[in-house]
Formats: sequence, structure tokens, C-alpha cells
Amino acid sequence: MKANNSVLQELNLSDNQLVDKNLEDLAQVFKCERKLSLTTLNLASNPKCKPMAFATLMSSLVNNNSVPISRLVLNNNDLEVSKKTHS
Amino acid sequence: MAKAFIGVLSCSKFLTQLSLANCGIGKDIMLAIGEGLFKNNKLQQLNVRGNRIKLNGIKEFVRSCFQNSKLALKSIDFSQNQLCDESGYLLCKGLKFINGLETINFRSNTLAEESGDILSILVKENRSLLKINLELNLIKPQVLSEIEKQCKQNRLDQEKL
Repeated sequence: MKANNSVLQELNLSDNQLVDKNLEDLAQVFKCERKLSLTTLNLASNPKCKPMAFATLMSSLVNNNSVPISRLVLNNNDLEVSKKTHS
Repeated sequence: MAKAFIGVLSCSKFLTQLSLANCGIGKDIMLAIGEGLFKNNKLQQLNVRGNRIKLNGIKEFVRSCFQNSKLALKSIDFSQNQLCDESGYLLCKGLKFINGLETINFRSNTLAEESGDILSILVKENRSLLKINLELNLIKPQVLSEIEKQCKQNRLDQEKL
């Protein structure tokens, strides 16, 4: 995945049947791109994605001044790691 | 997951709105959100509607309210969680320290007398508070009426400025 639109401000991927790989690719883009204009990222209602994939994506935003996301929407996803499956 | 929340809230220079409605959030992530807010001075809107947040998850959030004078929250949505009266009371003790807070949504929890009493004091002391949603709780109608009346007064005062 390569971002080639430096003026993209809002990315709405809600209810898109995304899987973990899609979030990992997005995280990779955020880490590698020198400058994006993205201010809104909506990933609501993608229940196939696991909490760790969301964690990877969020970690790519930490200390990353190249991606100025001011609005992050993760509604209707399961973010709490299940202790049962985690152990 | 908890570390990711702490990281993004502690370090992001841009994030002003975080929406986490219906995400199955319980104690661990809510504690992480609270810890992340300890150094945050950007976030203005936090939506954790429809999760499983209860008393054991709000400790760090309240601590951040007490200790982070730069907390910029204007709107919080804790509706449809499992907040008991004690949770509501504790949250309000913390919210008192957020100067610019404008809206609070506690709809559909089990807040009762103690929460109602402290909210009626809070809305008088913190004149930036313009709207508090307390529908579907256990607070007495008389107290709800007082809170609504004061919110209305706060809105009128804001309009005059």
C-alpha cells in the first residue's frame, strides 16, 4: 500500500470488512510516509480486525509528526484483548 | 492494546477527538486511557459510550483530572456503561478540575443520590458546563431539574460573553 495523495484529509474505512493485514499495511504507510495531510481516520465497524491490529496501527501514530490525525474513530470494534485467548 | 492507548494519548500532538463507542472496553483499556491522559493537553472529545466501564476502571482517569491541569477535554460521553453511584461521584470529583468542560453524557448508567448532589454543585462551580445528560439513571427528578436549570443559566451567561 502506497499513499500517493498528499492532500487526502479524511479516510473513511468504516464497515469495510477490513482484516488485520489491512491495518498493518496502513500502519506501515504511516510509519514510512514523510508527510500526509490526513486529519480524520474512521475505522468503525470492522469486526474482523483483532485488538492487536488496532494496537499496531495506533502505535504507528505515536511520536509521528507526519500524520496529523486529529479525529480517530474506532466505534463498534472489539478492542479489549480477551484474557482467555491471550493466555 | 493498553500500551497503544497510553502511547497515543501521551504523545500525540494532533489528536483532539477519540471515539470508542461499543468497543467492549472494560477495566484495562479504561485504566490505560486514564494513564494516557495524565500528560495529554490536546484531546477535547472522548466518547466511550456503550462499553463495560465501571468503578474499577476510572481510577486513572480521575487521577489525571486531579493532576493534569492542562487537560483540554470539552466533551465526555460515558453513556451506556456500568457506572454505579459511587463511580459517578468519583468521576465528578475529578471533573471539577477540568476548567473548559462543556458537555457530559452519563445517560443510561445507575447514578443516584450522591452523583446527583455532586453534579448539582459541579454545574454551579464550573460555569463552562452547558449540557449534562442524565436520562435513564436513578437521580431524583428535583435534582435533575436543578441541574438542568443551572445548565440553562450557564448557557445564557456564555451567550452574554
